Parts: sequence; C-alpha cells; structure tokens
Amino acid sequence: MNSANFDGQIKLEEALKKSEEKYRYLYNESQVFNIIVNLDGTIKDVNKFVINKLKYSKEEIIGKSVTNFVIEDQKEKIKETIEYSIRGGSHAALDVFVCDKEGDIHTIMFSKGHAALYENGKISGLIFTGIDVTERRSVEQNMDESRKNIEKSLFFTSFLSRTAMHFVKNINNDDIFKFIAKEVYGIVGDSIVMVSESEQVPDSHLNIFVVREIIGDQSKLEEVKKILNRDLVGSRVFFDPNDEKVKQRKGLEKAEYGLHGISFKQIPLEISLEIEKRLGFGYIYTTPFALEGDLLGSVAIFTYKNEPLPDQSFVQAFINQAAVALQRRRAQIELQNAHDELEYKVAQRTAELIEVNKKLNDVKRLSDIGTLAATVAHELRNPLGVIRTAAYNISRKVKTADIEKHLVHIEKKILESDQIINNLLNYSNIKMPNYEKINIYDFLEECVAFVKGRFEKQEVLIFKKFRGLKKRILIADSFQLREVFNNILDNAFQAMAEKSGKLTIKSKIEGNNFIVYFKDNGIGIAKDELNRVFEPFFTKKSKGTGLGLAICSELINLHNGTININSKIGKGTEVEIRLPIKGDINGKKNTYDRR
Amino acid sequence: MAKKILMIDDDQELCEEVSEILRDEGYEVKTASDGIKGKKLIQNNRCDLVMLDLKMPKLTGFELLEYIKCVKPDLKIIVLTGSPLKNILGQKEQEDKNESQILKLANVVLNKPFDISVVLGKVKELA
Repeated sequence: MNSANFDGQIKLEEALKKSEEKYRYLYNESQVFNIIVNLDGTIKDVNKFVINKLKYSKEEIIGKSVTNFVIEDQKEKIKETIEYSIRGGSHAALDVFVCDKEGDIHTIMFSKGHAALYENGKISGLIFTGIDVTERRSVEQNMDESRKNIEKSLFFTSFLSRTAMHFVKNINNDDIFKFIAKEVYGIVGDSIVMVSESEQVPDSHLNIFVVREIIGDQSKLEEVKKILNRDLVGSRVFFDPNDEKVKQRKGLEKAEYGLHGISFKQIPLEISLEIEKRLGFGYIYTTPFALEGDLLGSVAIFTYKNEPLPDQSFVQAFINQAAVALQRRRAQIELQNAHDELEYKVAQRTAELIEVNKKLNDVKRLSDIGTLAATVAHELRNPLGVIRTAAYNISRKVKTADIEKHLVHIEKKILESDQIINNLLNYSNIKMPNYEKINIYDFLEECVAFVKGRFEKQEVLIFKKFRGLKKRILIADSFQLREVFNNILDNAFQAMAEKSGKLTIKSKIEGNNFIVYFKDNGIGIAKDELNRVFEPFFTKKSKGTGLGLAICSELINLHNGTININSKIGKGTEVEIRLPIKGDINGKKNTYDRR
Repeated sequence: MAKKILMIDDDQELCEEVSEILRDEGYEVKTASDGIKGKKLIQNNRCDLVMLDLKMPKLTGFELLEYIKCVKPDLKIIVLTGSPLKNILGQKEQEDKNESQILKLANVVLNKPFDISVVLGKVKELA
C-alpha cells in the first residue's frame, strides 16, 4: 500500500470522522426534533431533544411505530405521510400533536420534506426535522379567540345601542317586556325566558311581579302551564325577599346580585322553584332588571339542557341596557303625562281666567252703570218732578175730561220712567240686607195690593193661599224683599196682559223655611230662555231693563234663599222662592258688597 | 197770618210750579235757586217751613240742613231730592255716615218725582 495514499486515506477518514462527529453533535444537541424513521415506519433513532420532550427513555422509543407517539385523531394522517415519504414523495409542512409519557400534548411543526439516510449506497431511513411550537400555537389560538371576542363584543355593543334606540323610540311600556324576553331568548338560545315587571307594594318590603312574557320551547311552556294550572303571562306573583325558607332554596344564590349597592332577590321564586322542581331544570338564572336602586322587574332564564349559559355576561349587559332604556322610556312617558297635565291645567286656568275676567268685566260694567244710574237718576228725576207738578197744575187749572185723559197718560209715563230709574239704581247698588222682623202675612198682602193697584185695569183673578202664615215673623230686609215680590208680581201681571189672568199665590212654612209660589197663566218663557232669565240685561220684553229678575236672584241669594222658575210657553210661569225664616244674620254678612 | 215757606232748589221751573200750588193753597212762598241764596233767605226771613233740594251749586242741601238746625233748630224741613234716597238712608256706618245722619235732621224726605198731594199733606202737617 502506498504510504502516501495511506496517509491521504487516513486524513480523509479523519476528516470524514470529524465531519460525522460534527454532524452527530448537531443531530444530538440541536433544539429541534430529529427523528430517523426506518422504511417500515418504526423509529430508528431520535435525538436528545425528542427524549427530553417525550420523557420516554431512548429504549422505549427506538423500534416503536411513529404513530404510537401522536394523538389518536392524527395517527392515520401520520401513517399516510410517512408511507408517502418512503415512496419518495415530499410532504408539506405539518403540525403534529405529539403525546408525551405524562399525557401532555406538544405541537411540533415538521418542516417540508425530509432528508434520506444512506447506508451502503441504499436508503436506509428518513430524517424528519421539526420544532416545538406548542406555546406559539397556544398564543396564536388565544389571539384568535380574543379577536373573535372583540368582534363579538363590537357586534353586541352596536346591537345594544340599536336595541336601546329601538326601545326608546318605538316600544311602549308593555311591549318592552316582550321585547326583552325575545332578545334575551335570542342571546341564550334554547331556554325558557320569563320576564316580569316589578311593582313595589306600598308601605311594605314586598314586591309584586307581574309576569309579562314567557318564551322558549313550546312543549316546555305547555308543561309549565300545566304544572301551574294557569297561564302565567299577566299573573301577579307575590314575593317576599325576607322569607328564610325561600332563601335557602337551591339556585337562589344565583339570583342575588348586588346592584348599585342594593341586594335584590327578585325572582318570582314560587314560580321558578315550582318549575325547577317539576321539570328538573339544570340551571336557573335570575337577573334583576334594575337601575339606580329602582327594581323595574326581573328576568328568569331556565336552561333545561343541564348546561350552563354560554354567555351570561351578554345577557346581563343586555338587561342592563334594557333597564336604562325602560327607565328612559318611563321618564319620557312621565314627562309626556306631566306635559299633558300641565297643558290641561293651563287650559283649565285659562278658561277660569276668562270666566273671572268676564265676571270682572260684568262687575266693572255694573259699577259703571251704577255711577251712570245715580247721575241719570238725579238728572232725570228733577225734570220728571217738574213735569209731574206742571201736569198737576194744568189739571188744576183746566178741568176738562178731554185734557184730563192726556194728563193721566203723562202721570203714568212719569211713574214708568221712575220705575226704570229705580231698577237701574237697585241693581247697581245692591247691599247686604238690613235684617228686621217682618210680619210676613201682612207684608205679602201689602205687596199684592200695591202691584194690583198699578195694574188696575187688567182683569186678573188672584187666589191667595197663605192663611197659615198669620202672625208668623220672617227676618229679612223689607226694602229688598218688597223689591223682589214687586218684581215677580210685575212680571206676572205683564205676562197676563193679553188675556184674562189667573194668579195663584201660595205660601207656607216648611221647617225653617218660608216658601212662596207665584203662579200665573201668562205667556210663559221659552225653554232655551229659561236658564238666562237671571242674567242681567236679559229681556224679551219690548220695554224693560232686563234687570228685574237679576235683582231678585241677587237679593234672594243675599238672604241665603233660593229662587226657581218653571215655565211652559203659552201655559204660564211659576216662581218659587225659599227663604230661611230666621234670616241669616250670622251667615253671609260682609262677604258681599259690590260698590 | 199766612204761613211762610222757603223753597230752595236749583230747578227754577220746579220752584215756580210748586210755589204756585202752595200760594193757591194760601201759603206765602219765597224761593232761592242755590245754597248761598237759600242761606241768606233763611237768615233774613222768619219762616215756618223750608223745602230743600240736596244737590245744589255753591252750598249743598246737607250743609244747609246742618246750618238750619244750628241757627233755627225748630224750623221744619222737607227734603225733596232726585238722588236715590235708599242709597243715602241705607248707608252703612263705615260708608258716608255723615250724609245719612244729616238727612235725619229733616222732618220729611221725599223722592222726586213726588206726588204733589203727598207734599201738600206733609206741608199742612208741619207748617
């Protein structure tokens, strides 16, 4: 053997040996998965990293099938991949879930393809290289979940704001509970959702719950109805939150929420527990439907799949939002009501003011008329006085029947004028009565005689039925009462001017009242005019101030009496006057004075 | 001797009409058309009766009434007025107490337009 050749060979061998050592070092010590697989799929060799990861000894690994170390779901896929590689194929990069001796799963990402191991010029195995990406994958997955959650949250936030707007704009107080039931059901899926409205029982710690809506699996609902023997919707359910027995029942802790510093146990427990017992629900959630310490209602969710709610926080968020919306809606309604109320009151007050104003105007008008009347009275009475005296002088000097007739007319018209002046004066200057004792029998006789004298030429039969009054005393203002009776009698005589009249005057004492009726058979008063006859200046006569009955009404009122008129057109009129016998000295005094 | 009557009224026609009747009835009548003239008439004349209007220029009937009762308390007085009598008589204490009090100084108060026969009756009674 050529020594030089030999030397060269040794050097070559040494170099090769060094290279192999270096390779073996890299193979063993590198922080990657290095696996050499025999052509039959068994493991020929693994590096230290694999042994450390899998926590098996080298002996436990060598000779075993690769599939022994991957998770069940992946075994088939790995088997196929290795067979494909042995046939000369090149596989894509692949995440393999490797199971270690303690059962922990590691995610190993194997790079694309493989290296071949040659022995004696023939492929004796395949080398696969992978890195541990367990943590990275886990982070990636978390990130993915976070992203999804953010998306979901964003979606939900916009959903909430949309529904809140919908609440406030379109839904009234009743609908809102149905809406909440449907939306909550939409969020939690196949459960039974019950929404109730709360009403505080005044002066007690009790809450009444009016169940507004139950929604969910129809067959279950039917069962619920059967169990309770009634349809719960619209039912009132009492709930005593301090009942110890109720507190101890299962599921109650879930019903307790500290909200805005107040702890509610707001579920209509009698119902929920009954349903829970009979139907065997897995979970019951009750959520207060409250805002700023104001319990508006409650939402109960019964899940019957024996699974917890997928997303409780969303339900809570939705309900909180609904509570805000409901409260806003209620405030809106309250505001609207207050507004309506205010408008109503303003309208009412306006009407009152108009009425008062009208009365004030009337009073002002009457006061003006009073001043005017006093002036006119004085200014007219003087000339009237002269005319009357002059007429007397004429009649004294010229005693002929022809002239006398005209003088009588003058005298009559002077008296009529005087009566008009008197009416004006009387109405504009009504004062509190000056009470005195009146012998009512004599007084009535006197008044009738006086008026009859004025209507001398008229044919009127007068029936007087007031015998029982003899020696009875009435306490009243004689001036004013005379004014009243004269006015009524005047009217009666005028109403009977066109025919033979019949006037009935009845009077009696009834308890503490003196009652007098004046009934004529005159022309009568039309129905629509009857309620206006007491209005000042209302008259249907061709002459007259329209003040006669207005004066009567005022004077009788001042005496604390009443005056009523019944009439039929063409048949006649009846006036009824009632007065307290003893007057009303301590009654209305000083409350009335119109000057 | 004929009874003497003073009539004080700013309505001259009334004075004429009434005094004519009174004269025909046998009375001696003197008239004045305002309060001042009336006052002088009372000062300067012996008389049995005064017929007095209330609302007059210069000196009112109320003032004259008070004056007469002061200087000739026994003189009889008939007031003839166009003012609403009831208003004056019916006045409450807190209102114009004076007017109603003063009016009580008169022997008779009659409203215009008066019935002259009533006036004549009162004159006969008082004078």
